[in-house]
Amino acid sequence: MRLEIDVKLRQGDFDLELSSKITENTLGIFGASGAGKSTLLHLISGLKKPNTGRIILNNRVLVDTATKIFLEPQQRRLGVVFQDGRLFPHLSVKKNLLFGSKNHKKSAKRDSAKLDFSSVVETLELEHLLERRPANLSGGERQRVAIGRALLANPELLLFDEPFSAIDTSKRLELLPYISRVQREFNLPLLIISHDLPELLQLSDQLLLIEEGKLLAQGNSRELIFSTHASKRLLESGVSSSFYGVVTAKYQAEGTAQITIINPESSSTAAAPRILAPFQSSIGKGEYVRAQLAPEDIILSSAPVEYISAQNQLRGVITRSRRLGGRTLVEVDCSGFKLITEVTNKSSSEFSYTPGRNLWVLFKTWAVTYSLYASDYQAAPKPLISTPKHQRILELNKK
Amino acid sequence: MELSSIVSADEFDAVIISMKVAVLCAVISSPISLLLGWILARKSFHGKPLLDALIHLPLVLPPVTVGYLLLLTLGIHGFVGRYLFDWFGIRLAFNFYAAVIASVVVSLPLFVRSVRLSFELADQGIEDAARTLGAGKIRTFLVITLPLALPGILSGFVLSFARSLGEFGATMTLAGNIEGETRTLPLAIYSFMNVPGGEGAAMRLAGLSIILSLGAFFASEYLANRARTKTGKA
Repeated sequence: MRLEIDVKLRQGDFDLELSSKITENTLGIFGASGAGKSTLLHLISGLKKPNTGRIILNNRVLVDTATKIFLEPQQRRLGVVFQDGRLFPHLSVKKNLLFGSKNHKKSAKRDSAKLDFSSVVETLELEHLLERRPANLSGGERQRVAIGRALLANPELLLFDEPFSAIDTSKRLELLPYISRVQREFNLPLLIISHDLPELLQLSDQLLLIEEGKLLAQGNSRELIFSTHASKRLLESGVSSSFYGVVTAKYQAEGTAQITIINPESSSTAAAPRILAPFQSSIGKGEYVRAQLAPEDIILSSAPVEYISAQNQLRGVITRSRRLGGRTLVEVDCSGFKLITEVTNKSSSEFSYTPGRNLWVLFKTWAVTYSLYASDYQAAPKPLISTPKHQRILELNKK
Repeated sequence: MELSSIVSADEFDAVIISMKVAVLCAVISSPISLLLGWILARKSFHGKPLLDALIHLPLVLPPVTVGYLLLLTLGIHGFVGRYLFDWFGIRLAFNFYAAVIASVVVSLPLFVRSVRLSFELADQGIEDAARTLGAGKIRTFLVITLPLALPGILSGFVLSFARSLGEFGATMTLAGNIEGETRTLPLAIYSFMNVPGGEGAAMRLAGLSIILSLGAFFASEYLANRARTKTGKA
């Protein structure tokens, strides 16, 4: 995907002024409520016009105020999944799904539709819902139908607006595998808007941070956390280390599952670190997961610790550290498995937590949260694993 | 038992005229109300309060005043009616069409209000979703907005029909009380009341008018319920 945005929009006393080039295939747009995320989504999808500026998607001008080009939403071919689904209440699920494909049959330029009805229904497991009405669906089911409906309009890009906010907290994790499956099977670029950082990080490592209508920073979450402007914001919002792994063993009686970390920088899993995570009956052995570990759940130690309940003890080396007010952010590399943690400045100076220091990383089994990413990790295309090669950190000077 | 065996021929005529006027009124008002209701719900422009006031005027004016104003406009000496008559030979006062026009004008505010409200309540976010799925403005309106607003439109239709059944003042003033042409149920009741020995007929017609109005009310409830279940708002 190549999405170029350079727009200004004034709405009442709120100013959105944003310029960014997006090349990532999956990007999370993060900001507090009222930061301008939804306005940005409306601008991209054509539901709002910028006062000045332009938006270009893969060399196609969606809007350019200078040349007076403005494509109507129906001409843009962008799939939007709204936060409450916005299904058509008077139509059955099947008719909802087919709504978009009917429109695009009429348009002359129809590419070979790789998104056919049956494959979308199968991927999102909608078969048993087809005859139902939206009023009789759960929040998660509604979102799945909304995703399917957007897909069947054959979009060039899929935009998610707070995909989890209308779903019960306990059911949110269930939607994740569907989104990652869509990402994988249909290979569509995704833009995901959310005010909930932990949830966003379950879908994307690449972030674009918006604050008060302005771009705060853009890049890989791990890089951003060590950047000047974004780190405080990310830490306050619950940033965590995200990683991919394979469930290599399950111990139901012990309540644990073994996850072998996939190292994004090497292709072999031979020397990959293994960790213990909580047992989850729904995720089977051999399945590919995306996991999170929060900085505050990690303990650093100079030596392995005996007689402690924490099941995970990994050997690592500090690769980066940075002071931020009273705390120090530390990045530890455990044979390619990079974790971020924070310690007080006191511990940092007492134990000299500076780059190059060897130490042990300790965390409880329960500190690891994970969700199904794919049932077979070999099937997951590599680009989905974040590569820090093309890191760009964009930091705008604040007034 | 045939209706004509209970009521006399001229009473029966009044029922038929009333029904014809009411049906025509609701049908003619439909496109006008849809357009006006949609404009008031969705558009903002300079003269909007004025248009709003103008549409609502018949609701707050005494019907006789409305009829009188219509007569001044559409009568053969009226400033519009004069040309209609001179150029096309069309008469829009003191005939059946005048009765329909009086009904349309008087019932329009009710119909428009109902339509406007239902368009205002139809979620524009859902229309946005339809647009992003590739539907143009017209398809979005026909396939999404209109069905979502249907319960309100139906209830507006029935309101218009019922208001027309009850219309008296404006009809009397613009269309007169011509037996067999403009004498609707209310006018017939009024006429029988003024004739010695007409109480029986007035009573029968009053009964009929209750039945018709209640029938319209129940029909509207039924249709609105059905539409509501269809739009998933049950």
